[in-house]
Amino acid sequence: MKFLIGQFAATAAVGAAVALAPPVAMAHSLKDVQQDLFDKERYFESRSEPASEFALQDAAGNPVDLEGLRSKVVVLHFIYAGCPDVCPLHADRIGEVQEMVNETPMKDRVQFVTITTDPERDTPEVLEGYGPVHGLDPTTNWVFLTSGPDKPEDTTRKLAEKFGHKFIVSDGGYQTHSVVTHIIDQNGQWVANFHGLGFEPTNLVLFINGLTNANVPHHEEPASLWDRVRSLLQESTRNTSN
Amino acid sequence: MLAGLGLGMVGMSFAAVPLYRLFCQVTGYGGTTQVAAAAPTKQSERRATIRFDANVAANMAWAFSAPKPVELALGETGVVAYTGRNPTNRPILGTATYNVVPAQAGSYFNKIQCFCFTEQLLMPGEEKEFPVTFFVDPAIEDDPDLASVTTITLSYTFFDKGPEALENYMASHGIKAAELKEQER
Repeated sequence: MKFLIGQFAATAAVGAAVALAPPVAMAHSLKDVQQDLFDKERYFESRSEPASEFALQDAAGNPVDLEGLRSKVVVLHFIYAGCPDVCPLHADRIGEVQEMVNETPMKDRVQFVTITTDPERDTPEVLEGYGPVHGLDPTTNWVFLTSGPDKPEDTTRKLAEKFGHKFIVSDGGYQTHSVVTHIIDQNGQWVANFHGLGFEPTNLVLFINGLTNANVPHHEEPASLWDRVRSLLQESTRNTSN
Repeated sequence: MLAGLGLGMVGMSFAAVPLYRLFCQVTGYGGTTQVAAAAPTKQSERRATIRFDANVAANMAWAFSAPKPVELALGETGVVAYTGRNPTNRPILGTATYNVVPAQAGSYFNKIQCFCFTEQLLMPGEEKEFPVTFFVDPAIEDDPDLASVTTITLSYTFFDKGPEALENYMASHGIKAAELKEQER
């Protein structure tokens, strides 16, 4: 009987300790954010493949390529300035997300990239004037890219097709295409799409935050066993030659 | 053949670290902000000051305040609580992003409990504490890039999730509009 009472008391003590212990389930990782988005954000699509590389230029003619953005989360979308319907709304939405991201320490770790699919009409002057009208801030981490005069006119549309877009170009230059925001991680992996304009901006910001915390900047690893062995070998070679 | 396989595996194990470092050099990345399931078993004599930063986005009406800084030994578990208050007469659903500064220290900053990413509802006039349980991995001592770091800042920013998310949250949690009106009185 005593044994039973003792056992009951021990069990109760463990139960109380477990009940008082802080819950561990509330700590969140990128995986948790993804699962949450699967559950709540119907416009979220997870991807896992290398993003198509590009080498384009900004309004001032400065070269910009995806490889050069390796240290940042890239928020990429395709529009053209003459687009009368969804493109301006898409640009407004990206401008909204840029403003939210730039209110946090993520500002320096995210690059917003807009690429024109109509390089002929979207001259440098058009590119320069487009951002501020749509809440996109060119002075921080947003850039509007075009193919430049030396490349075929359809360069950026072909690039967009590699990201899953399909184009129907009418005689008047009107382009019918899908509305998708692509997310590329710091290692050049295309990791997500947010489709259309109906996604919740905070969900995109949370996903970006998950990525910035999942891939933190490089820190020097302590000397490895390999380095220590190599260093010993070099030292012993030096001693022998002396 | 087995000997060859064994030698190959040994070779691979030696090559793994240089290959990892090569990856880091190429990509510039090499760590992950940690989410731990339990407190560490080892502590260090080295101490670090942890500062806490609380922000709200432009669209968020909450008052959100940070706890005072704490000084801990590396490996020692800390528990603090942020405070959020909804001063308006309407319910607001919020969600927070977080960042560790300097960013490189994120690899060693382990959160056991955190409110980030989870939707948080504050009723009109409600105040709530948001606890964070954490520790700094003593392995930070072996990172030469962080040898001079004595202060780490944990920063949170709360965003308003908006009316649609609020409506969905209320529906999924069985909160009725009538209850909200009752709260507002």
